[in-house]
Amino acid sequence: MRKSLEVKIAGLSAEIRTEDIQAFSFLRSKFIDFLSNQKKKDLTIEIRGKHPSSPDQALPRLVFEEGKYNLISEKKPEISLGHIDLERRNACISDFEDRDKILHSVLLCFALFIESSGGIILHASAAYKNGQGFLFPGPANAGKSTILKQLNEFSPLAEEWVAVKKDGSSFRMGSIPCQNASNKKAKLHHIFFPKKGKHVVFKRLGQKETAKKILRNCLFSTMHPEITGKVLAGVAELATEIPCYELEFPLNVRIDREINKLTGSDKKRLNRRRRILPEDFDLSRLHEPLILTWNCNLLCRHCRPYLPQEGTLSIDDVKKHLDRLAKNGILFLHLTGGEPLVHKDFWKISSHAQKKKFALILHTNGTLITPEIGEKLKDLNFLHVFVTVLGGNRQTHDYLTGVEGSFERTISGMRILKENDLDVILSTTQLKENQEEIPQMREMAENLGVKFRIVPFQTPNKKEYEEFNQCYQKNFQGS
Amino acid sequence: MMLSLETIFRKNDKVPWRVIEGEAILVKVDSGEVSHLNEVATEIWQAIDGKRKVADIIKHIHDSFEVKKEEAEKDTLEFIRTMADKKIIVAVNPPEKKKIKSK
Repeated sequence: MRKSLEVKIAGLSAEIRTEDIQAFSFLRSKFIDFLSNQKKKDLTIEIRGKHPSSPDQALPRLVFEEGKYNLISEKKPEISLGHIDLERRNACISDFEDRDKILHSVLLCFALFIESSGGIILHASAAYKNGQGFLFPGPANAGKSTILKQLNEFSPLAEEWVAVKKDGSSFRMGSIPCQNASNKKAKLHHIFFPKKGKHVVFKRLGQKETAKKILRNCLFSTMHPEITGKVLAGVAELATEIPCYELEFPLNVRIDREINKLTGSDKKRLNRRRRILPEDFDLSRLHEPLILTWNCNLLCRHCRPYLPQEGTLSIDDVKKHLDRLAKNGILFLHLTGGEPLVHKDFWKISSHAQKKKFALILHTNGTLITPEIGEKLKDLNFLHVFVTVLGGNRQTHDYLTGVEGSFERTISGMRILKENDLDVILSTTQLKENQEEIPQMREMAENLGVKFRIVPFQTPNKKEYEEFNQCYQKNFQGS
Repeated sequence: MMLSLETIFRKNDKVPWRVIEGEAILVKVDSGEVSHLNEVATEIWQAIDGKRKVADIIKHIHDSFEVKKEEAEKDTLEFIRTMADKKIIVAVNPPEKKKIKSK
């Protein structure tokens, strides 16, 4: 039963036909990444005529005789192992027992057609990044494969053979199916001839030297003058148009950055309109509360039962924590408590946070604000100060805070903050004791010239509270 | 704003900022305004370090983006001028006599 395999290599599509199921399976496995179902075929390759014993171990060679390209054996050239007809775009290859000879013959067919259409095939490794390809031609042991391992930021394109062909004003390179190479293509940007050495050194090569070096690593599928001429013209064009360097490199050192620097392939495309973050980026991701202390000078009825008896962060713990938050991209830092202003190192902490470029937000009951504190907060560039008010009048507020006189001190605190040109927000928690007084508190805010906000008070359930406390204890060893 | 290629700028210490996924976000505390910088502006912002001259920053932008030298210069100077006018960045050394020709 005749089987047909459709492949595309270096832009050339072919149909390979055979009746030998084993040969078919073998080729299919070798070309698995190059299978194609392109309707238009550039050539047809027929595998037929069993060769149970090959004339010798050597791989078939291509010679031009009597108007035909013949595949022959080196030792017994009289035995025909196949032929290629360039004009009719077909080829016939012997069905060798040695499968590698079949593969080699098929690749020779491709090579001849690539060369006849102006392409060249180089003994080289290749890699690419952002669609830009880099070619590393060289003989065995020059460092072709080694260099690929030292190019972390680049994707490998081929390790052994690469087809290069001019496409309009640029050169395209593509992998050849050998040594498990996968099917990849890229635009050729630079050629580097690798050479192992002590330091990374780039030496720009002139056109002549480049052409000579490319020729040394160039495949000539046949010595036919016309084909050879085409290959030579391709090499000359490549040497003229693509920048070539000799690249001396030491082992185990990354060289992708050096190549990036030299070739400018690390340059980003400029798009002034481009926003990196999405338009609907949620800024709340950049906010983080920091409870400096559980201690408080008030005894608020709705809050006190849930506060631990004690717990204050040490300045060193806070600094370490702030550094971590800054690293994680937190921008808006809410200093809260308890009452954060009772922390003995409040100013040192705020100053450190300012140095770390946080936008500082204070949550306070306002009773401790003096003109001096107001000035200091302004100096430290606090973005907002939230002051908690729990009632529309002294009775309700003082009842809820559990401290007589706290209402006056809070109002006075807000005035001082306002005098210091800080952005003050009168914030309240709606409780059953004060819900009737929300309009009065709103009016109070208006009279003081500050903003007004109702902040929900969420009583943590026991489990949440314990989890929070464990996390707090784990992160902060403060007494 | 007098600007020279030799001028060195530093960021205003009082401006809170972060770079999130490659985009700089700046907070103007006086107005509470939050600004997002585009990719090039973020690169310039990060290059303003109190050590590099304006000329060095232009070169850095030219090296980092696929852009002509003149464009890199125009973008950098425009950004620096705006930021300096808003006092978001501050000149470390006084501008020298040699000024940039206006285009």
